[in-house]
Amino acid sequence: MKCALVGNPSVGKSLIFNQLTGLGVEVSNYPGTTVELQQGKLCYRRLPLEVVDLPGVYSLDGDSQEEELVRSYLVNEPPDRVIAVLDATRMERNLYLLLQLAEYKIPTVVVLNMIDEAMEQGLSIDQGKLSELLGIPVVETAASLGQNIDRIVPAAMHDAAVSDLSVPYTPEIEAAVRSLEKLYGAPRLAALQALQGIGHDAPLLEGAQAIATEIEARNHMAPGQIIAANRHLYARQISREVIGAREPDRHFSLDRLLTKSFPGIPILCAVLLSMLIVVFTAGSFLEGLIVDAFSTFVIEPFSALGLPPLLHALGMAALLAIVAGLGIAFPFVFIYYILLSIVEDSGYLTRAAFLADRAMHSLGLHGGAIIPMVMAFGCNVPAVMAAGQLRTTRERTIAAFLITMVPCSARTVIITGIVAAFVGLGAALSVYLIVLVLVVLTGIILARSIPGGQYGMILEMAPLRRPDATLVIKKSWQRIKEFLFIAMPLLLAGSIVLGALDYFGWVAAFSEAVSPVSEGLFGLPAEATTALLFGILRKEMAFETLAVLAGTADLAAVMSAVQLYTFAVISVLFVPCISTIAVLLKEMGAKVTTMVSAYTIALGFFVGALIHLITG
Amino acid sequence: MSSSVREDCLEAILALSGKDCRPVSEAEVGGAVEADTAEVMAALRTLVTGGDITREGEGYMLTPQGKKTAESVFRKHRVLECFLSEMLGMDTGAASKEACVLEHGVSDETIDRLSTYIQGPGRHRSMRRGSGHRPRHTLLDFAEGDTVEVTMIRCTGKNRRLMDLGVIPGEKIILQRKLGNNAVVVTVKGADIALSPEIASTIFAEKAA
Repeated sequence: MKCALVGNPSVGKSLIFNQLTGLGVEVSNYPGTTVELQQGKLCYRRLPLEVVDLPGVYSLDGDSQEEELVRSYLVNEPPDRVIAVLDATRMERNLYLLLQLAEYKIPTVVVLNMIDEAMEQGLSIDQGKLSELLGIPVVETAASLGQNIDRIVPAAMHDAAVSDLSVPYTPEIEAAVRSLEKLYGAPRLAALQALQGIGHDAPLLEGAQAIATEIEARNHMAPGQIIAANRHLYARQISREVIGAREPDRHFSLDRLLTKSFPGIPILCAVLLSMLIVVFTAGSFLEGLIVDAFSTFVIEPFSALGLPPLLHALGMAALLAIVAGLGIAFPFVFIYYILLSIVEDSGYLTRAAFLADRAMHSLGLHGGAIIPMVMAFGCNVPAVMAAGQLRTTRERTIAAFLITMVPCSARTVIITGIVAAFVGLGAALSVYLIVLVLVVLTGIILARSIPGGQYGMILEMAPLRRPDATLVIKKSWQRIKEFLFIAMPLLLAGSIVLGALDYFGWVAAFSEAVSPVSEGLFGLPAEATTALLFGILRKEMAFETLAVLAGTADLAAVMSAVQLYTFAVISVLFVPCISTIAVLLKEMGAKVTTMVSAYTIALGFFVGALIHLITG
Repeated sequence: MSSSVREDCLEAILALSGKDCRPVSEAEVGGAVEADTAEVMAALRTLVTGGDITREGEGYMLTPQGKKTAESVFRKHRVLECFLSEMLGMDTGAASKEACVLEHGVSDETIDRLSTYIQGPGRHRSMRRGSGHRPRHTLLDFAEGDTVEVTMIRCTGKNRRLMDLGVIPGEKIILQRKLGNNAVVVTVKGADIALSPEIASTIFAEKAA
């Protein structure tokens, strides 16, 4: 038995999913997309039950990636039950989606969530009437309080029903649907979709197109608009019948501050800056603890073993990789993801998007793109995937460039591990400043040089809510998992290979070969350039390799402050890591990937050489 | 205009040539297509030049390319015919004639005539409004706190999400916030929606009473 959760974005769907399934959640990408599907299993009276959390959508007829996914999921692998999650405080718009959902004729149960918030706002909803009008059972829940969640599954199993609700469309739409049903034998749902240009049945689409053109010529409105208007009207009628009188709602005093230029923009800067500072300080503190513990309890005993030299060298390389990966990156990445999840789940990120709209416009993007940009601070890979959903090639190209320049947590590790630790906190922040300036300059130049129109943002501002701790941790854990299970083995393998190369003297030979360039151009010791090269594999590996090559974790002993600073700046700027390159290739194509790589290499080397030139 | 005659000619040849694909003479085409003989002749010449039909002795034959076009016109004709009869309750003959004109893009007069005929009393108020008067104000012309009624949206195809969020003609929305660069927040159906300036400027509205 398979159940799918469907609903608008931020109606508490994930929270409900989480409470239904507990742990044991499997995240997969829907074939051909980068949209994630969460699947979980649970047992109900010894019956195995599979629950799928579909991405939040506003409509089933839209053209966004999420909307296409949900639509094709419901058509191609229809679940046995649909759990439609509705936000009681936004009844009318949520019913709009439910009306579309009813056309899929899948047994459904309605979950009326956020009933607590609705009551606070003085909304009274006649649940019985709603259930009667819809012809499907309604469960009232307050997921944030865990109320009535246990009633969802029994209702879905025993009472779910196919709604006989049918939107009364205008006569023209009905006539068009009947014609398509008659001539092509198309079901009502397919006919309605075909009128809006959705579907894969070429003859049906051709016929529907002929009618659609005709309808548009008469009404100056495309069938899609008429259909949407009809649905909205019907949704309004239903919600009027079930919602009692409500007092005008004047409760968002906090929002008033957050979305105003002042103090909104200072608050935004403060939030972003404090996120970075928290990551810096808490990360370095934890890092210190872990590194110390590791050297005392693992590295020293290992050195004392007196293994044969080759084994010792390889073992040491592996251990250093583990220290670098687990002990250094883990605190930074994980803390950042926790902070990001909090900002995301509290609804603040959408306000940030609104405020940033203007600034993003000058970079050729719009406010909505701030979400991938902020994500990039954690890891560029999911950020590039998110940017793949931007609408135009122009936006995607610009976003690809800018995102790969944003210092991800691996690069934060370099900045904190090298610059903050050995040079100073001010210097570390200045690296961020340099990167920020370069990102802005790159954006402005790209926005002017890439032809194409500017598209705007249409973004619902999620209501401000207290984030759910379990959900935040879970989300952060899912994000860090990619790092632990994909990056760590790469890091470990690379490190061992490097240790072996070093043991056999090949690294020294390579370093000797590049030393004129390295010293002449950047004033760096040759092993630093070698380390940079390994940084392509995984960014923080540049740092870790340097430690391996220098033979010590105390880098200040082998390099000067300026050298460390230069090294950090170059490795932060140049070439995205191998996994970013891979995902760029997949999302943006070979041309953009090559351009981004070439540009960042040039930029990194140019800035590196410049610093060397200035500091002389 | 002549493109519709061309399509009619193609359709006529398709219908008249039958299963055995015999050549169709000029007179036969002229009899089936409602247009001047001169126009039909011109259309046939263009079709020959375009590679849609070839001359075979006394008549014309469809090329594979022409056959494809003709079949497409035929299908379009059929579906429009069905649509019209569904909607108007016309008898099939009359609908067929009407569809014959409609399939090539209808004359304004016909649209008007049909529209008046079809427009029942139950139609949504806002739909009629789209055509007549031009709304003058966009969302950006209003001040924070104003409640406005949407009258029209330009280029809806590009911004389908607006429609799904409930920003449609006739909807009352509140302009919640307007920044210096004209990015706005509007309250639609109880939800706050942030819009970039270029989106806000496609939404026309008038002050709600």
